[in-house]
Amino acid sequence: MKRSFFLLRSSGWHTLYPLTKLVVVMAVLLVGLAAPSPIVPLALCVIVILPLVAWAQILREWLRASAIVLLPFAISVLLIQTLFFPGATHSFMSVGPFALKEEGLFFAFGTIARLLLLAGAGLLLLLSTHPADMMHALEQHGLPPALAYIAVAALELVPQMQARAESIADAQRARGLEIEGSFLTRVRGLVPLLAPLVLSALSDVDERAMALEARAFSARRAKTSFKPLVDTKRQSVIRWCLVCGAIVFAAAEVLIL
Amino acid sequence: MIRFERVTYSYPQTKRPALRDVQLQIDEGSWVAVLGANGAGKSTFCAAVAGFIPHHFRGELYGRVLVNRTDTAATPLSELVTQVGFVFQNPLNQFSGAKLTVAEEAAFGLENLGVPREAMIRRVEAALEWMGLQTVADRSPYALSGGEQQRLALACILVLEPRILVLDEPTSQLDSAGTREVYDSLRSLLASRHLTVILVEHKTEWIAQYADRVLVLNEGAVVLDGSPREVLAHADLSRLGVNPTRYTIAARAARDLGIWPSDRGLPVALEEAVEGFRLLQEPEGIRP
Repeated sequence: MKRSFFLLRSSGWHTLYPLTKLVVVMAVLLVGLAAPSPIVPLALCVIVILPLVAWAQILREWLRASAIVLLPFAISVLLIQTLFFPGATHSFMSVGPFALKEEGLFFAFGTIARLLLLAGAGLLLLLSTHPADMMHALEQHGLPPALAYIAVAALELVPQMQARAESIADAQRARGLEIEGSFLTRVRGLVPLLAPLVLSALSDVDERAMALEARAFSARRAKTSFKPLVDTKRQSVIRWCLVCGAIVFAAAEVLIL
Repeated sequence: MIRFERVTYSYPQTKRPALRDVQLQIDEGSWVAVLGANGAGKSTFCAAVAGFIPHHFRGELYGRVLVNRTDTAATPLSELVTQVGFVFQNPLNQFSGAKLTVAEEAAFGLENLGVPREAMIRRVEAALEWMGLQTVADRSPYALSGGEQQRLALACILVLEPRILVLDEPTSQLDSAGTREVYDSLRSLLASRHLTVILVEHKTEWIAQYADRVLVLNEGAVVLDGSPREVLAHADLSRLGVNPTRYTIAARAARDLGIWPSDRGLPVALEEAVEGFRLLQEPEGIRP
């Protein structure tokens, strides 16, 4: 059972200091999401994120994860906006009683382009950065350990929750519950899965908190790292350049375009 | 050494004490098993030893718990963890969730204590070796078997080098092989590192074999305290919600039938039962 998003590869991208990767992704997001035109996020996805994904040697997994994350959103946004965009006057096609609106289509395209950048950049970071490294890098740069842990462990808990959901599904299936088949059957089967999943997760919270305490998590000392984590002057300079450049670009996009 | 000085504790918003006037001393190097029905106060007892009471659970605490002459209420939990290690029932809940390999997971507590990397590597390697996990150091903690995961949970605590180990039903989710792995690891630790072990356990056969003192709690009070032989063969054990060992049950049934001599003590372990039943076959042992 896979319990983490991280994929170990021997790529140059993987050897970068985690904060550098975080800044690259945040800078791209800032520039892409501040732009009024949807062409900018789409272009950034193609000319920045995609090459970085290829450099990180995670193209197949990234494409798969992006499709899983994005497709349900994209389909629902496209349907809702083209059918029900408020105040739309131009329709380009009619399907039975429904008219598909041009304004809605453009809005949906813009939203999907931004979602694509958001999901693509986020997945690049998630799939190529060791969670403990990110946690330690954030702590090294002054983020309180509790916040750094929450940020990282919350993401890492997702695959663990998936595994727990699968074992609950197996148990319910063994008791005769139908959770496969038509859409309606699956929706009906979801309720007996959700209740034990949420309740068991909640009941674990206290024990998890105690377990962290038992491992000196609340110790008020400078933490160290088991894995060597090397930051360089060059990367630090690149990070500052990226931050400044992204702010200037984003401001220009907002003010000029 | 652990000393409970007239400890009474109630959880927040409850009236009935979870621990009731507990007064006892546990010597260094001993293996103490804690038994009792559900809600008898076993986990609360362990939480009090480890300092989770009163640091994690507020409530009302009367009396003092001293660990190596230190009052647990007056010592921060982050300092107590180097004296008392706590292992929970479910190993998965003890893993940080932020580490990808067994070795990294074991090092988590040392990172929090700010231990230098070289010392950390040494201590992690030693703890994994004690627990027989050195060959799986690079694997994911979630890819291990149940017994291995519980031994990793133990290793995660042992790296902190506590003198006292508190284990709250560590084998409840393990099969017989996994249980043996954990018990054998504990026994070798006790012998080599002179640790004190406090263990909550329902599997009385294992306790009879490994522990050298047994406490039985009932409604928060210690009602039986003695050697495994004294406590596990006690007539009140079932009434207190604790199952006697199968060997005691068999011998008691034999005694009720008049086969087992009433003046002979009841066995608690396999070897004693075998010896007892063997004696019954000898001419002087046969009852009319």
